[in-house]
Amino acid sequence: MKPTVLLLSTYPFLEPRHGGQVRLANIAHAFEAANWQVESMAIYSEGYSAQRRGQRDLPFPVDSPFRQFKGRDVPLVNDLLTGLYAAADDGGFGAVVSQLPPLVDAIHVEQPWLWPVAKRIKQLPGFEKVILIYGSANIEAPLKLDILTSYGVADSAQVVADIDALERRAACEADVAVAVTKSDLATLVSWGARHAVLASNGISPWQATPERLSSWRERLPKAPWMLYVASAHPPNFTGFTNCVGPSLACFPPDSRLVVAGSVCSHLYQHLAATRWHSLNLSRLELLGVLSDEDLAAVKTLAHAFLLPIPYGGGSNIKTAEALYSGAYVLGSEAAFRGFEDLLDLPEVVVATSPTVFQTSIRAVLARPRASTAQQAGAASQREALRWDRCLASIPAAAAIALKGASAL
Amino acid sequence: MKTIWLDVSTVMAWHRPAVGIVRVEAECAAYVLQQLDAALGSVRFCRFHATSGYQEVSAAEVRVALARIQGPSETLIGGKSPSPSNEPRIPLERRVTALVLRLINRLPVGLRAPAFEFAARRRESFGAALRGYRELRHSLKTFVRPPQVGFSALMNSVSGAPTTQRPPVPFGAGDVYLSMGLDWDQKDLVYLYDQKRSHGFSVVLFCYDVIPVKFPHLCVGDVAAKFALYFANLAWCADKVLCISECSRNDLKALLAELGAPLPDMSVIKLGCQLPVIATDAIASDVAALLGQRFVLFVSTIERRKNHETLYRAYTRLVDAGETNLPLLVFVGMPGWGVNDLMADLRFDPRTKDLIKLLHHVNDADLARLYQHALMTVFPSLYEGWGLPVAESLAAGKCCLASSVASIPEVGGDLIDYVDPWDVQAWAERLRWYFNNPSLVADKEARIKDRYQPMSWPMCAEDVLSHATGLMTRPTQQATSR
Repeated sequence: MKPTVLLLSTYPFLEPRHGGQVRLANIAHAFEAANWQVESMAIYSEGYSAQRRGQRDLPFPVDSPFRQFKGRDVPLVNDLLTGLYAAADDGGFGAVVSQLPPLVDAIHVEQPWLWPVAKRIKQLPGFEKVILIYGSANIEAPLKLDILTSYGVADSAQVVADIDALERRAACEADVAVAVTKSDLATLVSWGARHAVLASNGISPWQATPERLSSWRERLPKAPWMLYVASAHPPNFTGFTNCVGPSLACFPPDSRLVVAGSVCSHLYQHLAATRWHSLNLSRLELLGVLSDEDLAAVKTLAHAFLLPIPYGGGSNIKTAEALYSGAYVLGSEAAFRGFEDLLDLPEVVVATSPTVFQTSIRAVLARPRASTAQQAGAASQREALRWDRCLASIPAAAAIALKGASAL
Repeated sequence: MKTIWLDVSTVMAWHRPAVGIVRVEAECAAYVLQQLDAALGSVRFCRFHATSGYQEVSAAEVRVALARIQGPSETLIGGKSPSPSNEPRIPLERRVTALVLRLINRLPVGLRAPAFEFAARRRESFGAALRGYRELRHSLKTFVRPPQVGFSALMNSVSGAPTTQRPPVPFGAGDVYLSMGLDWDQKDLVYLYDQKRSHGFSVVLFCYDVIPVKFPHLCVGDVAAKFALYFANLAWCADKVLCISECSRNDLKALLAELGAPLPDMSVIKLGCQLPVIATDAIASDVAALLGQRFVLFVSTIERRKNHETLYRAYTRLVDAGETNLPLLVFVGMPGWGVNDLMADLRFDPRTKDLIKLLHHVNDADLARLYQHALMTVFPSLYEGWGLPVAESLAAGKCCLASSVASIPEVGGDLIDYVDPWDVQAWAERLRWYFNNPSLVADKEARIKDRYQPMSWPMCAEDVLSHATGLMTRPTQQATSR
């Protein structure tokens, strides 16, 4: 009989769009590929239509008193509050219990937010032998501090301290702790993680159709252009000018920074508010959220990928995709966290300041397209970026932990 | 044979006397016409039109245009230094006044005097109505067409689609395209960049100043963003940028570095500053009335950046201090924007009402006379790309007390004195010193006449063309296939 893993998260992933959803969907695939039965439960905030939710997913009510952090309104901390709500008897724990599958062998908690929920489930009759897996997608406390600071949120110290405590607790208590970078792995181990494994972010190979390629080739600039794919996650736009600088004059007049994903409207607002708005908007081409087919075509046509990630733990899925593409990849140091082994690829450029970003953008757009031979040279390194290769360590570690738990 | 293509779009579209940037283009075109049969046979003219693109213009057409704008046949002195932010335009007030006067003149003779008196007494209300009209027009314009490109418009943009279909450019590989006109209004630098990459010609462009970006508050409207786009595109297009001062070159370099744009090769050229040959005995009555008096001359459009305010305040301090040895202060130039309060002060302040004179429509011959008869000149501008009035003053052998900022010290070197443009007290003290020491002023003038070497417009044009010729000698640029 297949072992069953329950994936706990703060977002559904039936239709994965942002990086967290994509990773979680691929974790599910990794378990399935390792012959696990996969169940999932998301405690989600607003914004997910019925077709995007799983059958066990539960809402975090908008009017819940748990929407306040210790009696006050603090923006951008719904993730933390979701865990407090879902683990509370006067919150959503009753609903969580009602949605639990009858048999669970392992609970994989993606990010630390729902760790208290997993701990309470393990206390329920029949769930005592469940092994707990903590999937650390980032070191969250410093990331949250950066986000709250960038938004000018005052009195964030307590929030950050609580998140830090939660992360450390999850790392210590987990039967398996999963890190996405070597750096994060070292952090988890330093916190006392007993069995920590590395499972980097990866990519799903894409193949664009001739029709989509032809259509996008007509629409996009004829001159070499750069692609920035990102979600509306705040650092993706609040930190953009910190990385690249406030002006896009480094793009030639006939080129564009092509932007795809839900970051578009936010990045537009951000760049339109600068002193150089006319210049910036003349160099932008915003595509919005694209279907997988369209995104595959756009990624295939890109001359280069831009990764202006200002900070944050974890590793960036978009970096993996960019590296896999074989096109030029220009990014910040933070963008390549977790992919240090690939920094010596000839098409990779690491920029350490806005000036270096601007100079490199000009240089990369002036180069001929990265050659097929060049791309083939690092084929094995690129193949290692596939999700199935990156995440295989998770079900393997879970199986070992499960074996150990059964032996007790 | 490789060709230099001199863009004369600005001259071809101009219908008023050539000053500032128009003058620069006109003088270069005139120089080329003079040289067509000699060494510069490889220079041809072109113009740009939004729909038809670049087209060749014949020498005959250029001659007609130059004659129309009273250009280089008689050397002009511009009251305005070339600046993207400072192009001459007949003010609405003047146009309305002319219209009203024309209408009154059509009335029966008996009605003209009362009609004129009626209109004159209501001049203030007409002025207020015009200002209100301007505000209304601006508000409607920005309401209908907000200044920023909307998000939805940007989302629907299609950058890969061909832009306006235009005939092929006449420029070939190895040619040099040279433009020094009002490019930010009249040209399409994105198109020029595309054509340059397709055909492999070189491009020489001008930078007069970056004031609209550096000091947008000294210009009309929010021009910083528009000009930042222009300068960024200029940087991508140009193989060489000719700047009219070291200051402008440094400013442009700093701006392009801040924007992250490429830094093209830049050289500094010196603009001509010849004074006109007075070919007529006719003198305007208001000018004639001044020539017999002691006066200090300030030639410039009356606008905030030129800083007439400091001179006005310096004069009020001198009057308040009991100074009686004050010559007239003559402002020559059309009123521009942002000086309504100053103009009211000049009209009503009893201390300076009879000391400060305004001359709005001075022709070149009369302007030369004013330079000749002035005690000295003043130039307290807050910022300049060059400072042509200072050069003209020196070319006329006149001492100038000038602002110490931006490019202005480049013009006068150690021949004249400089004062912080905001330091009203320093201006007052320095002016008093000059007024009380005419012999020292005379000494300075003698030194200026001895040492200052004015740049002629043909020399300037020759220098400009030599930079273009320099690009012709380098290996032909490879056209980029798309």
